[in-house]
Amino acid sequence: MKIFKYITLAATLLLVSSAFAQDDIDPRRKQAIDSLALEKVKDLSKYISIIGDKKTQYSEAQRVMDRAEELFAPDSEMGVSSLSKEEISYYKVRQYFERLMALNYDKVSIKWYDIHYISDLEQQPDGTFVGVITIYQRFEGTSDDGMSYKDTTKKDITIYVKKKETQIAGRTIEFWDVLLGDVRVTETSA
Amino acid sequence: MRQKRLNISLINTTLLLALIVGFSACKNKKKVAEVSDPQEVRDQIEEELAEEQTEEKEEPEERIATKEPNKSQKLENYFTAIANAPSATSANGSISEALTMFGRPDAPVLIVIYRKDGSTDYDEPTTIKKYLEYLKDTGNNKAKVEEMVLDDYGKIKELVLKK
Repeated sequence: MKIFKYITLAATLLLVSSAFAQDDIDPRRKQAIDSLALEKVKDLSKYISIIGDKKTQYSEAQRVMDRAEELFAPDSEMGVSSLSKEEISYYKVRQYFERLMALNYDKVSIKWYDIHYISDLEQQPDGTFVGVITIYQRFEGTSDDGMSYKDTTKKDITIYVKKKETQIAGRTIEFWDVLLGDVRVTETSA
Repeated sequence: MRQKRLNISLINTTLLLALIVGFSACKNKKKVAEVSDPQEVRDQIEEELAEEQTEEKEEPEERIATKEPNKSQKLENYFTAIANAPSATSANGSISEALTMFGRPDAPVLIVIYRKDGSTDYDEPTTIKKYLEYLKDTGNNKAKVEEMVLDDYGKIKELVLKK
């Protein structure tokens, strides 16, 4: 009977310690995860720039759209603003990319800068890390007939990071899956 | 008469052989005489052995220096070429060449983001084709080759990179 008590106590302790261990992440490991998520946003900025560039071939733009879409959680939306109207429109990311590619300008330049966390990745009860990264986007569209539009928007991107498993050559590999959520427009200026 | 001619011929052959043996012996004797001192002979042998050993040692170094860069270096050179390519066409050319080092374009690529105490953290696994295209699109060439698994034909079948 006494032995049974000890076993129960040991099992409880093991469970509690493993639960704490999940929350108690090594700061350097956390830093690596932070950097990984930030890198994904930087990758998105490159993809958006390629998709918007009028010199990009159609097939290449489609391929890049696929890669960019893979960065997002399903059903994520992208906010679009304009200096000429107050309301912000939201599109599913694929639809946003298609519209971006079809913009009626002869030259389009999109640059993201000052990419940083405004809300650090925090671990949620289900183990997922959630944070928010802010970016500034400079958009410049010009047409051969002289028409041009320029603006700067500040956007907040929700980030989700979760540990997942996959099989590679018969081995189980644990990896950090970074997914971008909705991209909300918070400011628009000339 | 015939017997006499045969005898003369035998004598001639014997004389000729004697001359050859004698000449050869003289030559060897001369050689031996030149290095007759045992110490000198030892020194010369040691010198020759040392020369041979130096030649043997230098040989592999020469081979390495003249050989093409090893596989991981070659692959990293492709990574650099793709990430810094001046045009999409140039990048695509390098991608095609780099892919010849792999058994198949969907060979898995693992990217280590952190490692401590035997525990490894990875980015989401990808394939070599996607990774090379990623380099072309983003120019982000931070990851270095850490491990390569080769197939029976010497082609890479799995790649591990480290950021």
